[in-house]
Amino acid sequence: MKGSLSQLMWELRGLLRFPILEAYVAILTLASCWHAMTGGIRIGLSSQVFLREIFESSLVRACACAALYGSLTWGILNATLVSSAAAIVFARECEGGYLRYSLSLPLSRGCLFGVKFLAMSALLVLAHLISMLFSLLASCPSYAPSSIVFILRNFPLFFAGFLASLAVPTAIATLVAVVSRNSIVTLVSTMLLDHAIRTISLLLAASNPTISLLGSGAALAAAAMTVKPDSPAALLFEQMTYRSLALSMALASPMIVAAYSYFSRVLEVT
Amino acid sequence: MADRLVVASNLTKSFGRTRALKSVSFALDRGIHSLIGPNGAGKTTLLRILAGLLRPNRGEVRVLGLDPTHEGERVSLMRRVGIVHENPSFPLWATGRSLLERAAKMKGVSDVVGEVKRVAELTGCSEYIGRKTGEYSAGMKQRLEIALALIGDPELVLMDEPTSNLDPIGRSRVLRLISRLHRSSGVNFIISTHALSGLEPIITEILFLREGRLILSGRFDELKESLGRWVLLVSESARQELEVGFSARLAVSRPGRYGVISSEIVELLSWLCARAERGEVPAGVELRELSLDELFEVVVKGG
Repeated sequence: MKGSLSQLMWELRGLLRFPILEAYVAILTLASCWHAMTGGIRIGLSSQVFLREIFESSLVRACACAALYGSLTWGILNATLVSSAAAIVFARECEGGYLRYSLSLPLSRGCLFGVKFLAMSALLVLAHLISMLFSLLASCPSYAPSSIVFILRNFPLFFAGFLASLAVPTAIATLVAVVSRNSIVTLVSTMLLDHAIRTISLLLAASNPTISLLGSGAALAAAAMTVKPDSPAALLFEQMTYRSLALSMALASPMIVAAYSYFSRVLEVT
Repeated sequence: MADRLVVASNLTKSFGRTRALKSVSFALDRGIHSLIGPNGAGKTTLLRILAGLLRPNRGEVRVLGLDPTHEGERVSLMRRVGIVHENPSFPLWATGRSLLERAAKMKGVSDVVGEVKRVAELTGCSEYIGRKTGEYSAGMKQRLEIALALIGDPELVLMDEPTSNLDPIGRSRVLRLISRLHRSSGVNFIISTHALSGLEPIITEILFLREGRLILSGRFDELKESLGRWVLLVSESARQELEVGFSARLAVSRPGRYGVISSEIVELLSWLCARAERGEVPAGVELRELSLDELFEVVVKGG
């Protein structure tokens, strides 16, 4: 127990000294990812509202929605790839010196990976919080004032939903970490599971606002639902959707290059 | 069995379709042992299994009486074993001192500061352990890795290419240190290396791996005896003369080079002395003891 605690403290200290460039890449990546997802939500929701107005046939509406959700999923997958690259960069950093050093000490694998994962989760939570704020600030003008009031009023719910959305993949990935004993598998699993669950919850959020309350997109979905289809806010909504997607792509490309170049360098070193 | 340093039976390890170790069995008593073999022979895999970093697909292993494949026993083992990894690398933000102190604490050393000072002085890294490891050269990292392995007076140190990044002076310093620690503190070593010269005076036993199999093992002296303790090197001009007089009883490992086993050395020397008395010593004849490098060459080439 004492060893685990000492290991956790050491790990967190290490994270605080995590090189600023890597932290910047990780946070921007997640910000981009979050931005792409909120953009995706807006595509899904505003278009569904729009399609409801146009198509009376539920079949046609379902087909149109499926196509739109396809593009939404593509955006999320793209973001997943970028964030997975950042995760791999981090994992390689850990894998190189950290694991060899740690496994040469009297420390069990379970303890090491459990602690490593806790620390990684702490980093993910921090990065998600920062990226979420970044995303909210960046897209604030796209929300109707009533939506912003809604978000602020329901912030505890919003935050609880966010933590809940991290808790499930973190728990699953902790198991993966202990079983696989491989930091790359662990981190990529974390990201993939995280995004898989988010994707499902976003799709649910887009299709059914009641179910969406259980998912991570609860507050954003609810906020989007408060916008009336024919209001000026809805038009702005759609414009911002495309802008946010373009911004996500613009942010993602250099980050892929930076992550790849760093990834190659770390590979050579280790 | 608990008294033995290492006992391994039928160790088999595969990575995908590649079989890195194929039913390797051996037992080692206390001493300084060398694990040698060409690239891809399975040395690092074997060393990692002994350190509990890899688990064999089949077979059993005991190191200092403990099973490194069992997680609980591996943790106990790590208190008594030091590991020197090949191409060491460390968290870039950490200083050498913080890594050494942490290792000392984890191994339950009571005087952490004193222990760090001791190992740093032993390995010659006192001057730079206050700096971050990201600033270290390969040689500095290697010395820090050895210092880490020596923290807490381990009973056994597993070393994978411990001198590969060191200059000749650093290399001989490490070899002297190994010898001294074994004599003074009874520390045992298993060294996997390609840099064989200089190891002869200090090693007890050799394990020779090739393509994942243990093809030769035993005390260095005994192996030399069985393979030909002496090497006779002759120039081209002396070759014909020697072949007429003696070569029928010599094993030729390559043209102009002969292996002589100890039982024949007296006869050979007598023959050479008789020639010398007659003033017929063939020019360009050199007789010397088989080195570890030559033993490696003989085994790899099947000479």
